[in-house]
Amino acid sequence: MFLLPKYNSFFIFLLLASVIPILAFSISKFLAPNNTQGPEKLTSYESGIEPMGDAWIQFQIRYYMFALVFVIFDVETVFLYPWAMSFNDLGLSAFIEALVFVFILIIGLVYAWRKGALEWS
Amino acid sequence: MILFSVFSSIALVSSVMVIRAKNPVHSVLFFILVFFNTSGLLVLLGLDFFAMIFLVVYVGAIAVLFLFVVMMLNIKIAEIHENVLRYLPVGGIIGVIFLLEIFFIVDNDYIPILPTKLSTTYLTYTVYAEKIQSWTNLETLGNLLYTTYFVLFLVSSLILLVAMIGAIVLTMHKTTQVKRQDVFRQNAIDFKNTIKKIRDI
Amino acid sequence: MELELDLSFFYKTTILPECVLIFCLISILILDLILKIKDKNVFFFISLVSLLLSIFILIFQLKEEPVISFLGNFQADNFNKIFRIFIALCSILCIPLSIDFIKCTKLAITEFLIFLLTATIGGMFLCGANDLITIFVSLECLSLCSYLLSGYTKKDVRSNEAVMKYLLIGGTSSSILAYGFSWLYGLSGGEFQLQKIADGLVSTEMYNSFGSLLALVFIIVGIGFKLSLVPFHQWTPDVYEGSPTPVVAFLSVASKIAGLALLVRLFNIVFPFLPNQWHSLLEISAICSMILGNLVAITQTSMKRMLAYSSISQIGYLMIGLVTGNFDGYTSMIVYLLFYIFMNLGTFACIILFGLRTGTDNIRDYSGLILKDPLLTFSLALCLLSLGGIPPLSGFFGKLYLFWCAWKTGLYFLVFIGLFTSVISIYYYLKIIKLLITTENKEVTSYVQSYTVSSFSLLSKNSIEVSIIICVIASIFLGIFMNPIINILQINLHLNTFTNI
Repeated sequence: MFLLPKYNSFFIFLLLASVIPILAFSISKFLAPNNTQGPEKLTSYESGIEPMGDAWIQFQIRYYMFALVFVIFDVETVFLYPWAMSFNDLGLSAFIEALVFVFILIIGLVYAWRKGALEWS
Repeated sequence: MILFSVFSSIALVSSVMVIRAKNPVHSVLFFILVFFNTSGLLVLLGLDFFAMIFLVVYVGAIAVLFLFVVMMLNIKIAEIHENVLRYLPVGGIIGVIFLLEIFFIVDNDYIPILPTKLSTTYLTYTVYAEKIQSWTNLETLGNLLYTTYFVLFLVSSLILLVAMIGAIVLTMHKTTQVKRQDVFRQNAIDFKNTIKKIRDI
Repeated sequence: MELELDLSFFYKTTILPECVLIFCLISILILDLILKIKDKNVFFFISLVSLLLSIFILIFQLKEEPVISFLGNFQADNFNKIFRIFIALCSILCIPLSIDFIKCTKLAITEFLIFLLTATIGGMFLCGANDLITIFVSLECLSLCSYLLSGYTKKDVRSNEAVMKYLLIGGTSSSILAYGFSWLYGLSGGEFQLQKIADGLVSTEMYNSFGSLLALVFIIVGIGFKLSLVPFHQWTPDVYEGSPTPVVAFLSVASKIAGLALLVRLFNIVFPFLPNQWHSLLEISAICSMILGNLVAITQTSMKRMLAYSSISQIGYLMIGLVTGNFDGYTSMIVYLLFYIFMNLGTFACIILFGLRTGTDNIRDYSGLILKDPLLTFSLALCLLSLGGIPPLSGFFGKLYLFWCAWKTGLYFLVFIGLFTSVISIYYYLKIIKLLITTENKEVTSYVQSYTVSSFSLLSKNSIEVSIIICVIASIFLGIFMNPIINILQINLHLNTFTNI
């Protein structure tokens, strides 16, 4: 069925996992009483106080910076993962390559640190 | 085949929804759905590692980044005007071009839509998985990336470095200009070092 | 198992010039992080020295045989080496231009240098790339740095707009290029080295099919966006107007060199079966860029926009050499490219100097500059005349050789269009020069009045003036030495692989 036969169980799992939330929602929909008992039932309740303003607040730009630094190191890990897997086949030269790679990115980390990009102030 | 059509149709529908959704957060969520389905397609192709990369990098990092951007931009939902017809001619032309290409691809021995029959018997492709049967995808990738393409590996590290520095340079405000209270330094001030004798009286 | 890395490449030193640059870049970054050096001129010095070093290495390597190294993804023949020298030359000339600009606008210097050097490295790799993946990665390296550089003045709204447009257009063009590459990959039966793609296209008998034509069209569109050939040029004036001027100077030259090298190699190696198709496509776009670039440039009021359209027309002239397609054509293209570097960078250097001292780049505000600074006026006029192609200057000789080569191969229409449009270009260049020199109404604009002239002693020249002088001298006198240059180029190019086709 698939190119990789060991993924059969994975797809069965995927099927089950996608059925469960659908089941959960439909069961609750089926079991719950009809809540059409007036408009007050539908308002959000915020410990006695009427909710004020929008739920959509503007985020600070600092979140973006952290997310970006995270993306870059995420990609770095992706690059290192195959290296770790075939480390035994590759030998010393690949080790040096990976060292250089990590070194260049560590410079980037130090840069971010020194410029205060990692501070929250 | 069933799974392929399921994944691809959900991906297509949700990619249309990315464009059509009025709420930008919804469109980011549909975007994530597109990524999920694409990674499913990759698993169907047998590229397990790339499917996982799709999940980790695109869903885990880039979609979250998109979400941050959307939240930062402070776009109200009503501000996105429905003005699709303006771009219809250009978009339509491009769409027709790509559709024609799809016909060109599809027009082979299996689905002879157009009268011109192309012979696909000459087409060969190298199945790398057969050549290196004992290796998994991951090991194949590692063996290629760190031998044949190691220059590109280093260039990509430079790209990542530059991207990081660029992001920091472009988004950092000048923090040195703002005067703020530094509690640690205030506590660390020593009385003896603060007052200095400039000249003898 | 051939897994063990072929360590002999360290002795072949094919990418030694790039390695020098990478080493310099990292050392600049480390020095900036560890030592709090107040005098940032050290970094300029380091980067200039390393660029010079890499140029020298490349010049010495010109005698070597063409090598395909790194298991086939990097080629070093003389054609590439010449283009790599040109790119390094551009950044050597651009770095002095940017020093004072950055100091005046109070931006971070180290990062600017790092972006510039990385763009140079990307461009140099792009010139030597021998497979599709290398092309794509190094192209991204170049273009990512260009986006960052063009948005470098982040407080300026125009710069933000420019970088946004540039980023979107660049992303689109990269994806189109990647789509074309995927066609090539599929049609050739899963090859991605350029030579093997050509062989693969032959063996699958797809070389004359609709699919390979489609790949050709997509690749032309993708590279055409980067080169700002005419149907794909719309981003150029906006980006040039908004970006910081030294960056524009770099982009207008370096990306064109890299793109041209890529175009020549890709088409000659991969598509030798479809010469009529790509020649005619490029011919159409060359004619369009010459006509449209020159005609629209007349109506511009901003100096930078005018130069943007002028650079569009110049890429049209360079395309003539590519369309000619024989040995002489490529030689003439390279010669004109060399002259274009000096002429264009000289013009931009004058504009940067004027813009720094007055804060404007409107053409109207240049009137009567000769009263304040005759030297700057003189050099700006010379560079513009050289771009237009007035006889004693080097631009004339470059164009003459280019048109002559095209005429010999029978591209009469192209030569005619080229001659006609260069007359138009001389018109608008002369209009600016007239504005610079004449002061009819006996009053200079307030901008020129606020212009402060630096002292004329030779020692206190700032770096922009140094590069202005270099460029002006080069754009005057290089034309006289054109025959030796052509000879050197032809001797070196004879070793090349694809020009014999």
